[in-house]
Amino acid sequence: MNESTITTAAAISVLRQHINGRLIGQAQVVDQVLIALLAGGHVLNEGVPGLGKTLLVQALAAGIGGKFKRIQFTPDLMPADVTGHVMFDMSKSKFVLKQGPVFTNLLLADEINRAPAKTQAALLEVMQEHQVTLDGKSMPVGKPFMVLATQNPIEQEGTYALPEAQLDRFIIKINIDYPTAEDEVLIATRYALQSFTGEGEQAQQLVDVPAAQRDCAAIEVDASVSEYAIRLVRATRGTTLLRHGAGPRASIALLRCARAQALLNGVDFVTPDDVKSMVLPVLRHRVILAPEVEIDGLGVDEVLANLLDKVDAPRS
Amino acid sequence: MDLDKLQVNACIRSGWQALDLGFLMARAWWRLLCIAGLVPMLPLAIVLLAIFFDSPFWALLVLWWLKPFWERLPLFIASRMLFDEAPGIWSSMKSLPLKDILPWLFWRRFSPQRAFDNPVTVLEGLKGAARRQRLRVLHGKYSDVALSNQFVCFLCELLLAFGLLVLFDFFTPDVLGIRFYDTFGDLTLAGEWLFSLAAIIAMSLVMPFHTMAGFALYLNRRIELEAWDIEISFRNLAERKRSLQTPARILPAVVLVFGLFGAGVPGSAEAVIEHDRESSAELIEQILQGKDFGQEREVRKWRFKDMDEEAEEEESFPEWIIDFFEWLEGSQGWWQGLSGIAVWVKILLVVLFAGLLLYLLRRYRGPLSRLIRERPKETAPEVLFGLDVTPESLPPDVPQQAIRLWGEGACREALSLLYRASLSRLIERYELAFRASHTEAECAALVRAHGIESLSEYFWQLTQTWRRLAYGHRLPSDDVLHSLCDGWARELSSGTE
Repeated sequence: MNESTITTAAAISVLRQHINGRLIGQAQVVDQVLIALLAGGHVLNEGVPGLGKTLLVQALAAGIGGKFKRIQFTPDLMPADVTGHVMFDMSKSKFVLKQGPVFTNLLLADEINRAPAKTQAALLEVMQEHQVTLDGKSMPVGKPFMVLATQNPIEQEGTYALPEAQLDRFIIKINIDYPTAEDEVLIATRYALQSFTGEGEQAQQLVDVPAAQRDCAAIEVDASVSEYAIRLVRATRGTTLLRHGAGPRASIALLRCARAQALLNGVDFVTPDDVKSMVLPVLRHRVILAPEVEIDGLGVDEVLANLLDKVDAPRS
Repeated sequence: MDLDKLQVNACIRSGWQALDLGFLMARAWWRLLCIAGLVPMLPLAIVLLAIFFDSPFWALLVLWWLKPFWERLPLFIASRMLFDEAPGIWSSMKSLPLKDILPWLFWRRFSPQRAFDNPVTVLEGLKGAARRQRLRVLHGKYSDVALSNQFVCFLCELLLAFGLLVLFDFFTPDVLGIRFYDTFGDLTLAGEWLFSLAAIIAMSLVMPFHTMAGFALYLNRRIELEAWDIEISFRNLAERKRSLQTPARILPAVVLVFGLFGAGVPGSAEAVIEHDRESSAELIEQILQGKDFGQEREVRKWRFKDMDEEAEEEESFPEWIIDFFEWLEGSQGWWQGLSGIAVWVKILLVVLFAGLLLYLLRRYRGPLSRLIRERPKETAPEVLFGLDVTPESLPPDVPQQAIRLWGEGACREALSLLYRASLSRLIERYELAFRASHTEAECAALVRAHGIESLSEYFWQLTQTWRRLAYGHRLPSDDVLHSLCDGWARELSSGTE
């Protein structure tokens, strides 16, 4: 393991502790968000309100010394409200550029499925290109740039479900669940006395994210492990349990996330365990259940777990 | 009972046709039967609902429990109307038989054939052994139909009650502020009142149909057993014949003359009868010898021996059991004197049984918990991660062979052998259920779950080293390999069991 990777792994460990100290009882969620950050992807969060999604992003922004902005998606939100627009300044008699909230490092897109398709598409374009075109000029957004979009699993009335092609842009989908009883006691005790939002927290750069992303990309992947990842993704295509399997972008995402997972574990090579542990978050939003499976009451996670059991681990 | 006045067509029907007839009777006399059911029930319902104002379900329970009693008056009236009588409700109430009502409200309350059995008590006035004997004759093939009648009517009552509840709920304007359910879907007091009233209405509406269907079944069985249809046909025939004779008045006179003549000489009448018997016997003999009856044929065919009949005889209840239960039934008074003791005996038995159960559970807790935990053994895999993990594939001295390979520069083969041998030994010795889809860390977790700490630590160290070589292409040092070989000899060689 080279010096840079060791330093990065140590820094990530500090960042992880920093966030876990603020967001209690969601260690797995924190890990997955960090993996998405290291892999240079975006995160789709699904969970009921009040589980600390905003706090997570604020703590992360503070930990990487980055800027944080939040958009509450509503049915009347326009693309210009996300990306920005050009307006005429009467006093200066010229057009001035008004940058939208996407010009940040961490963007919390709250309840993304409440906005109509064109607004979602504007955000997803920024996610893909990492730049915004305003008045014919392309402007890069902040670096690093990560979107944490949230969806509410309940209250689906009046929402615009994200199309599969757009869901594919999110590198992972995290299901946030309620904390355990012990953690909840700790949360209630701590946040009864101090601010819950974490606003005004002093930003400190615990991790140099672009450098960490470079280190992550340099993590070694053995051919047998890559082949294992591909086999896992391909297993979603040949089964009658799923109407649509995951595409090649899923294979890329799986390997990128497995690399990040290895870095998070402090090693510089990817094991089949790293790949296997990322299958659910990477694939759960990229596959569609067969109608009969849905009728039987099975969930995506159950079907994927079933498929995992059918794919042989690498033969070294 | 004058069969000439029978209001229904006396013919043999199937059980289901009899139910149809019962429903038809209920529809024809519905108003009177409904009133007959409500008249005794309504005053009590009002009193009970007033008493149990805060919990009307109790009132409903009492009213429901007394159903066998409410059904008596409609049945009694229907039995009179069947023979073209027009009984008044008050006069019927006065002559309504109330005997044997207690058994119907206690141990016969949940009788599944109540509507079918009720007429035997109410109309025939039978009880005890006579009633049982009568029911045995009547039930026959109609038991299941009577059971269906009870079940279907119960469901109809339930549906009607809930339907009325929902109907009232839907049509109650919100502005009235009456809530029948609370936030959790439980009935409020208003809801309980509404449901109780709906259930009472449903009970009154369904009761005539239920009672009449049972009565029609009973009637059908009696027609079948006592050949009412034949009797009525003969009567009609006789009537028609009588109307054809001219002059009709001669016949009684002739009968009278012959009767008087015969009555004066009883001895000769007997002789005449004796003569008739002889001549009849001759006549019967002649007929039997005739071409219609006089033929004899020999037919050969296979049939089962009488084993079935013997088996059936064996299966049927022995006489002494029937006698014993009849004796029990007959000596109820004596037993009732012992009821106090019986309760204590019952409690004692329950306590003894519970104690025995607890003792057995405690005594056999080990085997039981093993039984619960044990899972069907999976077939041990022969190839895992592409490695042959059968014991036959391993060299006799694994650590020695690994060190030899290491020395020859075949580092990957050496570590692979050590890892493969470990898996093989774990499968063979501890029956660990490794699957082809398990990764190395999952295998290590299975070993950890087995609970042998030193083995778990060793296997985790070996797994880490193997992964570093296989996926990270990092060679372990000589010391590490020798340490792993020593560990293998310590934890997994044949002599370390």
